[in-house]
Amino acid sequence: MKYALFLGCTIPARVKQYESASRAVLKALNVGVVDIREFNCCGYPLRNIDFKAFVLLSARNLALAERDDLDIITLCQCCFGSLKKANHLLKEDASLRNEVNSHLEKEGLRYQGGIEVKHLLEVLYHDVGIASLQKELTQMYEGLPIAAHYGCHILRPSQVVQFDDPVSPTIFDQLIEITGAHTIYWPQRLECCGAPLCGINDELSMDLSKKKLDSGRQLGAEYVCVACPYCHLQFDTVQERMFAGKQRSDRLPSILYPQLLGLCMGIDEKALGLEMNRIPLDGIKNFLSSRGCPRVLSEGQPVAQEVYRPLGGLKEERPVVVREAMAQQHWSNEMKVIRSQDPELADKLTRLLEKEALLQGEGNVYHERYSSRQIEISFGKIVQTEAQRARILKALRKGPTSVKKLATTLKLAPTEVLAHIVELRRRNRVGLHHIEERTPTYIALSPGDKG
Amino acid sequence: MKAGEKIGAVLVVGGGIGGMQASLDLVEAGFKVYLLERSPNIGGAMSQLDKTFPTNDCAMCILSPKLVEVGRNPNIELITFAELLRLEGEAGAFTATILRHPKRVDPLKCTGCAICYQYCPLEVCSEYNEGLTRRKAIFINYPQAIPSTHVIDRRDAPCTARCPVHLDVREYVGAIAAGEHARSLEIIREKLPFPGIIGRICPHPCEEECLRGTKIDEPLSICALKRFVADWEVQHGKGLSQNPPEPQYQETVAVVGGGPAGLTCAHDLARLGYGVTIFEALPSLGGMLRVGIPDYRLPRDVLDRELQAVLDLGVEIRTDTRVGEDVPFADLLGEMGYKAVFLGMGAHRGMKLGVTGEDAEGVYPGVDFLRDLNLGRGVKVRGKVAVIGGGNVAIDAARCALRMGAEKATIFYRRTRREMPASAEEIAAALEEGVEIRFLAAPTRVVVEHGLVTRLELIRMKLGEADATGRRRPIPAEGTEFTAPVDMLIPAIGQEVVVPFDPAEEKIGVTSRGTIQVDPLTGATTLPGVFAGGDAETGPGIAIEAIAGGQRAAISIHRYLQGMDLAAGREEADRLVVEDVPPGIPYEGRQRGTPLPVAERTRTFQEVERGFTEKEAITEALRCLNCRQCLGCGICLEVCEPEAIDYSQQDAIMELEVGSVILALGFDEYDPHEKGEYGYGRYANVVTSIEFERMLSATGPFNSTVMRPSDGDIPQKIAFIQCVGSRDHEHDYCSSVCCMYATKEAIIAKEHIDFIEPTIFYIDIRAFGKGFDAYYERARQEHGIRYIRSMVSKVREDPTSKDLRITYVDGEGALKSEAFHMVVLSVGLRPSKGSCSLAARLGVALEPNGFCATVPSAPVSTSREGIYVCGAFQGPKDIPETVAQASGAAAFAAEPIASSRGTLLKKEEYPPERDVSGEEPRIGVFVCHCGVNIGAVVDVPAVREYVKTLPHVVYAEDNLFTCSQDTQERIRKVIQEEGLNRVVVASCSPRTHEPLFRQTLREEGLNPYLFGMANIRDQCSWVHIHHPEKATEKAKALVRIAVANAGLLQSLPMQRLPVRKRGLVIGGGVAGMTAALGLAKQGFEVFLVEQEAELGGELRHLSYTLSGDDPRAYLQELITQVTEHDAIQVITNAEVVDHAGTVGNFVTGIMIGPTMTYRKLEHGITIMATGGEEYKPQEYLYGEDPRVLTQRELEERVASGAVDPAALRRVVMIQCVGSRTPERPYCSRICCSVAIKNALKLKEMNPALDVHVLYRDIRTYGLLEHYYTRAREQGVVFTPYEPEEPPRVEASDAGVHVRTRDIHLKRELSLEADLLVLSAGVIPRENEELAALFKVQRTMEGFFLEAHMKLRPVDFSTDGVYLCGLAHSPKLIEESVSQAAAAVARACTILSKEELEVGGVVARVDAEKCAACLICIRACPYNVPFINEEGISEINPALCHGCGSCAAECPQKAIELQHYRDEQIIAQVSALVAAGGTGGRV
Repeated sequence: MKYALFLGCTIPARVKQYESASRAVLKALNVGVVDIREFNCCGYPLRNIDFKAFVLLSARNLALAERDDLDIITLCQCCFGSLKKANHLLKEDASLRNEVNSHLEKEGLRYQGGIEVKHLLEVLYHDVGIASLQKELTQMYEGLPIAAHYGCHILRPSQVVQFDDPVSPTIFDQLIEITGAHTIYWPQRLECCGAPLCGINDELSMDLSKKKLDSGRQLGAEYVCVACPYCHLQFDTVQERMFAGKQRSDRLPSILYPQLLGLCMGIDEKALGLEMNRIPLDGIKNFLSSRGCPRVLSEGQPVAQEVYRPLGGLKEERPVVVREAMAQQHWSNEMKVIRSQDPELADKLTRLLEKEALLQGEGNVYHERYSSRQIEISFGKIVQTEAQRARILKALRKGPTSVKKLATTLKLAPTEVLAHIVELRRRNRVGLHHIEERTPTYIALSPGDKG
Repeated sequence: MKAGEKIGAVLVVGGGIGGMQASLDLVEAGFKVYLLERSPNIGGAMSQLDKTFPTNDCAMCILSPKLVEVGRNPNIELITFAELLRLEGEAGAFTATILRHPKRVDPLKCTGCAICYQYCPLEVCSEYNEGLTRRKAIFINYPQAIPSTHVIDRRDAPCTARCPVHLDVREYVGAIAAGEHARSLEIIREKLPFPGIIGRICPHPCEEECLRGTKIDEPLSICALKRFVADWEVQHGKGLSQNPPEPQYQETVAVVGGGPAGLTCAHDLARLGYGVTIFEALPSLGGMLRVGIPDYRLPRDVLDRELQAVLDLGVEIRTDTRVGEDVPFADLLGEMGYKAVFLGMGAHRGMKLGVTGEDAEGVYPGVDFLRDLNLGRGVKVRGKVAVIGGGNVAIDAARCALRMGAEKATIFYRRTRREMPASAEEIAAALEEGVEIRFLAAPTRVVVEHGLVTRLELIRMKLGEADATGRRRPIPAEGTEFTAPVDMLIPAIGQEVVVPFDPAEEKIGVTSRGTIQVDPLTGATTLPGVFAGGDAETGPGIAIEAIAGGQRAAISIHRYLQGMDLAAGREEADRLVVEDVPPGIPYEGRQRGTPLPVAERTRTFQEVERGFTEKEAITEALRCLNCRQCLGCGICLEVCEPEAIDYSQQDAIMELEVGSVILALGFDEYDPHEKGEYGYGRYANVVTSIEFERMLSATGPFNSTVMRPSDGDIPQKIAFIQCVGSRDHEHDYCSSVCCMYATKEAIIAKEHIDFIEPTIFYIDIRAFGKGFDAYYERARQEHGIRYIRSMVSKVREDPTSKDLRITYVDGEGALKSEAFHMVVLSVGLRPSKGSCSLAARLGVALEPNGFCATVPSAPVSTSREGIYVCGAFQGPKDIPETVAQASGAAAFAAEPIASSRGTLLKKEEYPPERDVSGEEPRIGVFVCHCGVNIGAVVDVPAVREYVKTLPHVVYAEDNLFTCSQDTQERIRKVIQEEGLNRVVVASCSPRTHEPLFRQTLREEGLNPYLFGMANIRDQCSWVHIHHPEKATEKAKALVRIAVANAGLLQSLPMQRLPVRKRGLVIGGGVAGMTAALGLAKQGFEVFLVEQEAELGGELRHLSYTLSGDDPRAYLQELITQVTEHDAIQVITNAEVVDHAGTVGNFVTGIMIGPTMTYRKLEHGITIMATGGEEYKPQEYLYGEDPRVLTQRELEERVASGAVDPAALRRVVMIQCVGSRTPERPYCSRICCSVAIKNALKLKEMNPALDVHVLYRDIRTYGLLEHYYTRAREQGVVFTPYEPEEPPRVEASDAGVHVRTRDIHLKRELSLEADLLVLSAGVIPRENEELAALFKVQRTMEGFFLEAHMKLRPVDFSTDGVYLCGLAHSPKLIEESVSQAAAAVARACTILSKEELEVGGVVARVDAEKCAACLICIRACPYNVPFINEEGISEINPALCHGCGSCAAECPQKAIELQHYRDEQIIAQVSALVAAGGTGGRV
């Protein structure tokens, strides 16, 4: 894996730590980077002024990389957006490419459309891969809430950049979460950082940053994590300026993603340029711990325990499990809970579980034969749902309570609990007890009671 | 049936309120009705509503009697869970082909006991509750549903449905996930002999439908999984060798063409045991698979191995044999003795570019190039290669050219990438490999030098409007010619089928495209015994479709050879597919595999895609959601006692003979997932209006207590966002109903829980219907609903509280941000799913938004004669308009078949009436919960228990909905079992529900008058909502009274009275004339009475219309038709002076002309169409300054040339003049569109003219929105004003000076106008005396008042009198026309009958007591009593209205009103006061 590193103008001048941290991380991951000295401006400043000049500037960079048969890796999202857009246009439109090449040919260059432009995050996520990254960790964060700031050019226009869902992206969150940190649910995460207006309308620019940072702070983030020099400048330098000018009473320090990751990989702080951030990052080390890291596990211990979960929770790997007749034993715990609350229902479900052999053998009434995987997915959902309902009934027997309290007690999402309550009310097993302020409470009814 | 005879039956498609109304009107007018509905039950969207605006009636309560009426009518045949496939024939005599989906439950056996529902283990999304609750796989939507049979709507997985051969994707992917690869392959091979081939080259349409892709993350990689198992088998050395099957049949079959279609056909036939010979023109088998697809996509060894499977079946192969050249076609069925032939020739001839020089050396058509390359015919490639075209052949040719050593390969395509037909993956791969694509370039000439191609001359293209394929058409851009140096040119712009013999000579039909003409169902050509499929049928297509064609033919050939019906049972409509995914599936991208690196692939033909590893394949297969709507576990069958379950049911086809068709297809709600900015689908507390409606409903998820989905808390602050999916770039129409339903939902939510604070964010409030503006004002002023005129651009969620933040601009122009607990998106209406394809199948034209296209003069006629339309399919509309239009459509549909009226009707038979006169009263009482309408306030079980203590009550029970069909059955059963002779229902209003219950009694042999009702809803739960205990006591008292009365009820005889089959229409405007003409065309005589000297009414003042039709020509045509029709007597200059009689037998007196001649008209029904007129403004200097005009005056003057727009600089229009004021608190509905019409006209005549429209809300509802958009595009300026601050007007020499405050700019706008045009409202014509004569009601504003706002929009409460047109309320021409037709339909329900049943509640004279004092004669308002020969008063029961005046006046108490006898009144009063400690005060 080798890329031409496209630094652009801002990083070498103003966010040097982004460069050094990235180089250090990539090196540790065995990703080679090559510096092409002839690289010029990415073209971004001209993008909305002179379209062809912009394409030409970008194309020259692309041609240089192609000459050396390298894909480009960028750190800056503006560079990424520009080069990616130009690359997209040049690949698809041979006429434009010919025109651009007629200029490039003057210095002996040509762009054939043969390379890709990738952002650091893309390389880490797609080319290196989450699994490989995880293997490189020596320490992990514990209890570290992070506000993930995606940045705009990595998401939009989505047809061109093709990085992630532009409305509800997850990749950056996943990259952050492998370090053990968790990303807060931050509705402002896709908002502008304010940098584009810096120098044009400073007041508005700072207002945008402030709103964003304030909300991140309020939602419990300790740091905001970025992967673009402009965003970082705004959240680091500009935030510090606001703090100094008493426009902000609190600070939400910004950390560049390679810094966040590098710390977990055991990379030297100096190489990560932590001290170059205006807002100190020292506190983050307090969150580090070596627990749960694959690298430091003692010999003989399995790398990851395979916990069998028929349907899997969020982001859990679903191991490949092939097994024979499992239904009855497999859900025996669930069935026990169900039976304790509703023996009649348990009998009905047993009736279903007993069909396993039939469905796998002769097939169902439509002569479709189930695979064990299909048994698992079809039966599992049904049994688990009823088990959750039974647990709710059990909890309600202790006295009237609300959806939110049930959710906390049973470790379920409140939406799920509500959906179960709806069904249990329909079955006349639960009744509305009382409405306190805005919150209804419920009670369990014995079968035969009227709601 | 004789030729030309009309069929007296109508097919109504769509069982919503529109379809139901049309059916009822038609059946009452004497026509047999088939009511077809796609879903398992009728009732449509209205059944999902909680309340209806503007009366806040419970939707289910007013719908339920209609449901029952439809369900029990013996002449309405319900065909639910079915689709209309085809309609053949013509108006008056159609044959409709209908596909019935299997319900899998036998309605004759199902008792509706719902045991199956309790036992079914699988929960799926409940569509009826909008996914807010779950239902079982076997289900019924709601308890009152008609028909009441449960249904198993087992559905296909979308991938399987989309696949041309319907592969069982779910099954074979499931097997891979379980590691059972061999079984997976087995499943595939049942339907597809070539998994390795198709797994490589299929463009996989199935993946586009995958729910994982459309609802969660990325589609399952179905195609690659198929390839995986095929490759796995090879790697694991599992052989393919099948033993050739034993020959079963002697007949042999010839297959022409060894491509995928031919091979499949041969394969299937050989497996059945036929001898098959394949004739292939090329040296080897495979067709396009071999010669069209390069090795790097489909390696030869894979191809050879899978084709071997066919050979192994013992199929004979004759390669290098071209039928038509080497073997004469005729010999196949002749000398050679084949019994059937399959034509599976491919599309192997490249199409010509049509430019000069294309025959030169160096020009190599794409298909030829690929064929020669693939057959190893020594193709040489050199230099610069240019490929012309944008399909997969072009891409393949270019990629091959590079691999063959081309210096450069360039594709020239005349459109852009977006329009390229090649698959996206192929295009991307080509670009990766270095193929150049130049878009928007088309060749004009091939330059040839010394016999060789040297250059290509091209021209640049630009994209124009979309063509028939939906792609934008390329247009050459003049002067942009350029040249490209070329050494080799490969045109690949399409292929055509080569038929090597003359099809005409062989009597085989061909299409205009040169393909073989076949029956799409069977694949049969026009020559018996010859079948075709694949490219030969379709033109160049994809392999899997060719395989489907081969399979279809194999089935047909087998049937043909065995003498079976070719088509039977093969008809297929769109398959029902699973549409929902289970909640909580985590995001997980698809596996991608690792293709060959670019560097390695460009110089070799090694396969590019390397397929999945086993681990990748299993991981990918685990992503499958196993989409199912029924597990097929068989439990319901085991528990169903009546054995009603039948899984083996299949789709069934039926044919119906009908004379007319009505499309009432309804609408779907807009899916707000498409508007990501509102967070629907991501934020739990953002819901749609229809979901909110369900939350409000008693039968909804929360038992009518609104809760928010995130945590079940009650949302105090609720924001409604209007126009979601309406009035935007994609939907240039207004959905018409959202402003009102949002207002209604806000009111109801607040009524349920008083601390709720609703806020409605809107652009314009469109309260344009009758009574709507008053409703809106009440919402604002009485209920305190907050309205904010601001378009919300996004919604953001607070992650901890799950509250939603909305940023908006307030009335002061300030940016505000506010948090809400819940956001309701007022989603718009769009044409229902499937309506587009149905319209295409029927040949019915649609307008650009997908609604049915109609013209204003015939608003219910579609583009195909004999097919009519009503409801939201014709354009967004609310319930009353749908109902009125449905009646209108019924009238139109009846017209052409009027001559066959009554021919197909079954007579309603009732059992003989039981004589109960001597019996002791045995009373049964049914107490209704009415959902929560009664039950939430009144303690219904307590009332029931109390009732049991009353005298003569032998039975009492309570029901959730006493009016539902199953309860009717229940009542009948109880009458029988308990031997009841009186029935009392304690529920709602007898006005709406009494006829229903009386009918039930009749069906059980009881006289309908042995029924009594207590209204414990209106009088208890509604009015005493906050005092439940007192309400319960009052309910007990009311039931006690009803029971006391019931004991004294007597059977009352009915009389039959002949009907005068003649109508009277009052008013000769467009509505009146349409009504008269409608009645006449249905075969009834009509008097058309007009006050003025000529016909035409308001229409006379119109000069042009928005849609560009000529209103004058229309008026002239209408007048001619009316005056020339034999059955219509037009009486002008006439005034109605007196009126008497009853429905079926009216007598109306009129005075005619200046001479005032009196004339008596005898008629059976009356239609009031007295019209309206423009309000004469008192405001804004009207009448004082000649430059101030009304819109009508402007229109007339522009049309006559008296006003010349070219001479004007600025025109200002003011809206709502005389409307929406305290004196006239209604919206005149049409003024906005009239103003826009005139503004557009002025702009058309003088584009430089400045037109300003000052408005309060622009109300261009429905499809009129388009004209509002156009007016803004034309530069008409629209400025809102507040009613508190109306514009101020002053006259000056320079013009009329108008000053207004612009609420957006926050400043005063000063406009000097040449003309000031006032949009004066519509007021009713003088009708007070008429209303008094006919005893019909009027609104406060003087418009006529219909019997029920929602469901009886053209009826008066007085039987036999109907209304339409402007006399009802302001409306457009098309609305008047459809309402007039509606009045006709309603009138026909009377006129079509020979006699009516009257009597029952009439006054009766006790001859013994009568003193002939004449008081009754003077008291009777209908002049019924007279002194007979015996000298006593006599009352003709047929004429008596039962008003009771005479009975009240008679000093001797000689007259008693039946059903309200003194004895009964006294008993009721005694029951009331004899409370005995339990009663309260009433």
